[in-house]
Amino acid sequence: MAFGNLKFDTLTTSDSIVTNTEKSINTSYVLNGSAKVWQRHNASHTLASGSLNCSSVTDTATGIATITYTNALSAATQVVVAGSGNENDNVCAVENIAGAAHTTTTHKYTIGNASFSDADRAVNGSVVFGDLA
Amino acid sequence: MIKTPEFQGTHLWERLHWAKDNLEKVQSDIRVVYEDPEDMDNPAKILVPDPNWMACALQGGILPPVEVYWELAKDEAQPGFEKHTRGYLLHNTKPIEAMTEEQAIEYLIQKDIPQRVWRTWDEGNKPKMVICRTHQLPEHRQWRNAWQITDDIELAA
Repeated sequence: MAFGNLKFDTLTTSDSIVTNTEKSINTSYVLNGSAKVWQRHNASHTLASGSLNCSSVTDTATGIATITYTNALSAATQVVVAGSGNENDNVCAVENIAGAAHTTTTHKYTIGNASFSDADRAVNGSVVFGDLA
Repeated sequence: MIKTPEFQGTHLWERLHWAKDNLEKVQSDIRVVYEDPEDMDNPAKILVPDPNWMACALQGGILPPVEVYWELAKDEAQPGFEKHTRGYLLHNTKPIEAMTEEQAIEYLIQKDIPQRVWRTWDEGNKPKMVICRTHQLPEHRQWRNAWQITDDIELAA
């Protein structure tokens, strides 16, 4: 059986379990509030197959990755959330390099060890929130 | 092979979701090593293609022509740029046909590497950019920040 499209502008719940007061939200909020890019890569910057809206990652230097998008954002005001870790050592720090390093098609972030020195980690990932072009 | 729907006029974002749901990811072992003349204090950079993006490139009918990205980059380089007003170019321009893996890498170079690198890649004392396989890169990253393209590299004909 084939499925069709479900088109609607508003999500409404009776919230019968908690308040029993009807609540509604415009579906635009759902789209606008969802992540627009996400990716995960290893220490040699090979990307995991699970990703969205990412065309490449550039291994820029020790502990520095630059992510490039397929669908540009409308403005370079994105919020980037990044994380990193090793199998046996999860102590690390991730710093988003803001300002000139962010464009509507890229973001760059630095991964550091517990001493805040740039370091390569086994698992690294980032998620981007913003508006699409 | 699954047939790509007629996507011209469909938001690129929707196309990427279709591809993610319907295409097998393609993990390429091709890498592009390059040195940026405006960033010579830092080591060589290595471009790694995304498996979902590569699947789109090989499938055809999904990605916009690379010139679209150049147009958006021109807009973004204008003084006082705040927001794209020509994002429709991504969605309304006729998508490109299927590419081979090599053609896809050439497209990705022109999209994701600065033009100052790839337009003059073979000018100067040594190449600014080299396309290679993963096994041709150093096996460990101990001296990662000292990686450079060697002066006497032999290029394939």
